[in-house]
Amino acid sequence: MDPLFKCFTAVWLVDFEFIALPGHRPQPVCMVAKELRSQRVLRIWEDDLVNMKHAPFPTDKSSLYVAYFATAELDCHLALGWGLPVALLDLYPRFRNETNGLRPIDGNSLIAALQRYGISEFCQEHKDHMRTRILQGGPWTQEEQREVLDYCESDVIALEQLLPHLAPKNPKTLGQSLHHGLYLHTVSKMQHRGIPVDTESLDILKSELPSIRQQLVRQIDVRYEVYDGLVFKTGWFENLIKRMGISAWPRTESGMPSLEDDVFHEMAIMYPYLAPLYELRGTLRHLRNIKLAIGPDGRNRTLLSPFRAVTSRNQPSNAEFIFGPVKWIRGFIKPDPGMSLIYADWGGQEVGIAAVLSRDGKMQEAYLSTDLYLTVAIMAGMVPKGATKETHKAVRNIFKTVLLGLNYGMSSQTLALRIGKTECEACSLIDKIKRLFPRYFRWTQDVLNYAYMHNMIWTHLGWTRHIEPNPRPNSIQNFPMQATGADILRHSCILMDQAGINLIAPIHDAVLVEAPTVKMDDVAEETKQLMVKGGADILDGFPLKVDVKRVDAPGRYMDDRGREMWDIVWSIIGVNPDKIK
Amino acid sequence: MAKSADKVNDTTVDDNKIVYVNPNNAEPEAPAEQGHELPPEVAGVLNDPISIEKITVTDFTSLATSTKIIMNIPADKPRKHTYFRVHPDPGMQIDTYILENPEDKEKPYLVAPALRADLFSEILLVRFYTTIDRQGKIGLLKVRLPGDDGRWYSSHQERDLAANIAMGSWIRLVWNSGSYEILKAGGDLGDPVWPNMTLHQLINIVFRDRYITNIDHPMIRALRGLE
Repeated sequence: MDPLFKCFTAVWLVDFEFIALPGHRPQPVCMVAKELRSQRVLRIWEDDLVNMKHAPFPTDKSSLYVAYFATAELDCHLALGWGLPVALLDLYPRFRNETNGLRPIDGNSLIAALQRYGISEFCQEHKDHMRTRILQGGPWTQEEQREVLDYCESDVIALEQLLPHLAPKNPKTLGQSLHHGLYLHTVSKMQHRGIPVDTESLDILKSELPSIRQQLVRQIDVRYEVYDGLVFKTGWFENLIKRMGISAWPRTESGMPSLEDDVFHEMAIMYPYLAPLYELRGTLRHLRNIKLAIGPDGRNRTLLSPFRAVTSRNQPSNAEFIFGPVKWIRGFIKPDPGMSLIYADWGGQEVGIAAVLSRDGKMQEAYLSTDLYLTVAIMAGMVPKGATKETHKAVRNIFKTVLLGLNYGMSSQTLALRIGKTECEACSLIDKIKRLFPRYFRWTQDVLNYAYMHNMIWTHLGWTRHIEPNPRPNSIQNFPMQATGADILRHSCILMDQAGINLIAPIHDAVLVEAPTVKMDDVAEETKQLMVKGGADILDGFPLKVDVKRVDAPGRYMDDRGREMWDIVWSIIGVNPDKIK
Repeated sequence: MAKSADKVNDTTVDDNKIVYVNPNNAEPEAPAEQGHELPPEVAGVLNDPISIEKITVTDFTSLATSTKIIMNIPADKPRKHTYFRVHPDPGMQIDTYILENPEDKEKPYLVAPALRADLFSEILLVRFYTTIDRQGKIGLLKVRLPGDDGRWYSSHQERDLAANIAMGSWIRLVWNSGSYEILKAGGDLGDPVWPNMTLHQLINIVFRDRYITNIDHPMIRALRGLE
């Protein structure tokens, strides 16, 4: 037994088997738990589990609960109406943290973790076979029940073998892991609650899919003439970019314009004329088969996959998560009667974090001004004092692009394309910013130097990136901002959860919160304060800015970037989605 | 209900029908004594409200400070497109003798005082001013000083004038039809940030491998047609 665990009266290794249909809450099938000191093992089948009012072991902070990818276990706790274990050690983020950046060949599954540490008696094929059987559900023969319990127990044994390799090495790391555990509470609660979806209008959309796709193309492609029926013709697209005078469109090895989603997205930002075409392509792809995971209660639920990104940000399935696909789909988010939602995000979070981490006082001052981008434009002498968003919108947008781009080392070439200027002008702009914030730029060099010298970098809360061979410098330079942003989101979610705020989704650097309309004024204010505190706790007291957007029933959430497509889709269907009874 | 209760070795069933198994007959460890205190790092996280003060780690970038190593310093004049300033401190100027490098004007040879009499007809008396450009790159501006007769080379007199202007303004020095044009920057480019280096250190870098201390130096021998 690890001496570090002596502060706990018990250490429980826990695994559940369950059935999880898309959008549904999980249905536990069985649980096996083993206490490390006494070697006691609990093997409990579903019909006993559902009769238990709480877990059959202590879940207060005196007892440590160990699992792998613990949101599955926590989801089962919530489905059973059990309390969540306060002291939770999930070995999945521990494994991610140990290998983050090194891209383990076999991924990050329990089997992959076992293999990495030379524990090889576990068989993926057997695991797949058992998972398939479990997903088929009952009725179960006694033999099958024992097999499933044995299988579940084998995962607990695996946990026991893995624990010495992944156990935190000191109290600080243990504290960080338990902080991760508390965040997983919030993730599980979000997965449990789900996001309210206007299923009536979604059903209408689904029933109209075949004709919508055709008509969408007809309506939008008029401007571009790149579709033949529903087929995007690359040759015709080549003509379009020629007509537009775009010579710098990235190309594939065969010389054709690259149509990768990332490339198209980037180019649509540079050439806003192409933005509807980009949105159309995504929409057609999405409308081919809408895979949003909606439960029988009309709520969108999917695995939020915490810690999956290198930066440790959540990485839910793009197809299943309503914030994943094209922006206009978010219009289906609609609070239930009497309820309200807020979308609260940190404004310019990455610049604020960069200013604090680099200790660049001038950048901090600019961030805290009323309008960061205009302030920097004024500091650079590009607009007069007193300029406003209305009077100098174009310059403001340029500075927004520059500041956000420089965090990940945007080149002068890309910047030139983005802002529609010559490369020389882009260089000059970068030069100006470098002069304004020399401390920040020295710091970005320090980040690279440290990474190259020591092969690892980390955040204040210990999220580590190991440096792989031939790393991309831009990605290393951007890591401290993104990963610190993830730390801040996690910590803020914990604070909000402890304050009783109903979080229903994390979205990159934002959260979606649900509350009864009559209480939403207070909830929105408290959410904002706790998000500011969450950032300040990690950034030495620096107050990141938080913006809140609210929607009350019967209204619907709408992302401004998706409004045009939303309106086009419903005009094609010929129905006002807000008047469906 | 624990349906596999009677089929598993070493299995007992308690009153709540939960199966307790000790499959390997492993020796249970003594239960932990009550009262082991949670370390402050753990207690802070598990308290409500949470405190993360004790679990933050040192910022790696505070350990990463690097020093820029200046490898090369050109010693002729800034390029024609480069705005530059000259260090106003006379301690950052030096008058000395050099031997010009026919291969590369920016890389002259410094001649040791003991050899100057022997090389009198080949060496030049010059003044080096310390310069800095907009990217913070350090250089030397070379100005050939008048000989014993007090006569200037006109282009070098213009360089000297430029150096004096550049002590207070950002300028460019552009050769145009037989003379230099001195172009002052139109905007306020701010003050330069000079590196914390002495002239002695700069000179050591400039002439690190171009310091002639011996009459048999290959450069001298080549000049005299001995090689």
